[in-house]
Amino acid sequence: MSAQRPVMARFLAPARAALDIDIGGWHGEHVQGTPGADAWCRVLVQRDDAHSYRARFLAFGPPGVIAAADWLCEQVEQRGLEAALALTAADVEKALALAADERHIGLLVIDALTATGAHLGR
Amino acid sequence: MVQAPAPIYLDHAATTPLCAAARDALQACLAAPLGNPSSPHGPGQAAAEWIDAAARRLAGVIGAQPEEIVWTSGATEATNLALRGVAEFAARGHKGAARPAHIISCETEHSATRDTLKALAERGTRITWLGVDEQGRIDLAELDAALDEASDLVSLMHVNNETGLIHDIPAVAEICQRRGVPLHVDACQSLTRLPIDVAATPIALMSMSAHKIGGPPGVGALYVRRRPRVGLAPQIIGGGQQKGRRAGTLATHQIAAFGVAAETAAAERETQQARYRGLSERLWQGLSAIDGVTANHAAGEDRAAPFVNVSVAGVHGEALRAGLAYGAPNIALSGGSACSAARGASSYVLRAMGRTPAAAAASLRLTLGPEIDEAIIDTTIARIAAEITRLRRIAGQA
Ligand SMILES: Cc1ncc(COP(=O)(O)O)c(C=O)c1O
Repeated sequence: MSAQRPVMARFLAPARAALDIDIGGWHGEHVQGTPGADAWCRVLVQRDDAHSYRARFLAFGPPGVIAAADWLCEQVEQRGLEAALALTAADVEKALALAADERHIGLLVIDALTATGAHLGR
Repeated sequence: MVQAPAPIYLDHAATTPLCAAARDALQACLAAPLGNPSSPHGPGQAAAEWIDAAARRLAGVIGAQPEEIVWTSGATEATNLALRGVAEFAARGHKGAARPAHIISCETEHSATRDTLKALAERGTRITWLGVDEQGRIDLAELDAALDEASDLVSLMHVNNETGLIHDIPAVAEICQRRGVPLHVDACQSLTRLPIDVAATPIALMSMSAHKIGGPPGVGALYVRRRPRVGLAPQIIGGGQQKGRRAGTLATHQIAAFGVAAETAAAERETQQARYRGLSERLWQGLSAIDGVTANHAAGEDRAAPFVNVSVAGVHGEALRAGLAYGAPNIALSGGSACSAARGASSYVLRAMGRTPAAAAASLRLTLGPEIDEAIIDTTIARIAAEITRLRRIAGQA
């Protein structure tokens, strides 16, 4: 269990979990995690205007998945979608101090955002 | 400043807080000018007296003779001594020509037994593993059929450390005695929780641990019946302490505290267990009202009173346990045994009982102890319900 502080703080209070929205008007795809990891993530993005976005997520998985999805949504809102799409799994790992056995988490949330980006671009 | 709510400890099957009487004994020993209990001088004999008293206390709790207690570092070592000791002794050829030993055990044993038997199997010991039903029970007819002329030992736990299931040890012991095969019992979770009487029940060897009953960690014992005596090759060789059965200078303070803890818990057994029965029933009633919560613990009287074990559908087990452990109030509980949780694997006990890997992974084991009361149980139920709802909402399910 990852008791590291950055993960735990976000996991216990993920500000961008999609609790308060009707996801009908949002873009995002369900992305399955690494087989065996028993996790999935859906990053939901809405364009407010040309440069600003709102991001939320739905997720199932260990604390790291929920924390990483929350962090990535924050990056979309703070840096913009294009900059967030340039982030890598290594950036997620570093930001949340993920352990070696949590590598799959960075990949999962990055894949989820990439899928959403493709969806938005369509 | 708002004070954080007091953490709730519901992991007494993993370890119990030190009871006051055991703490007093520990401190008395550490403060006294005690020598090495093997030394014939005054300070040595003062230490030996503490140890003799502890042996009388522990033996008294299980109906044994003090000479039948072999002190160890815990139940893991006691079980290693029992299983390796019997296998090594058998392989030397006491039942005729030298041949590999045969040990019968069960798939849901604690890893102290399971992994020791696996290691013995790699070196040639024949192991027969008995399966269990969905409640975790073995089939006594299957046990009977597994025994043969060349069987050296049956090893079975009394109470399962994950589900609290009680194996019918008197019935198992009766079969073993009839078939002439010695029985080793892992009594870690039953000592002072259930009545155990080796004078009435033909158990040959029994593993016990102090830290499950209010004693300190790092000390345990193996009960070794004198008559009929089971052949046991010592596994720790050295200064010949404990009649050569387990060498090494004895830890007087820990042993003294173990004896006192055993006596204290045994004296409180009936009242405490009746209290735990009511509290664990209340806990289960509350949890079972939550959508998707199912029982892994055995029903009714087949379950030791302090245990509740549930699986929760639609949540990730690690997230649920972390949310409970680190959210407020902190709830210390476990999923599977503390040992398998450390390895991150889902419970082999629950999977052996036919639970899916997902159900086994999303399990909570809550075990009660002396400080738990109805108010704590009600807070726990509300907290678990809230955490399940929170996680399901994050997954868009609620
Ligand atoms: C059933 C059972 N057997 C053996 C052990 C190991 O006991 P100890 O910690 O004293 O080595 C435990 C405790 O984890 C247990 O619950």
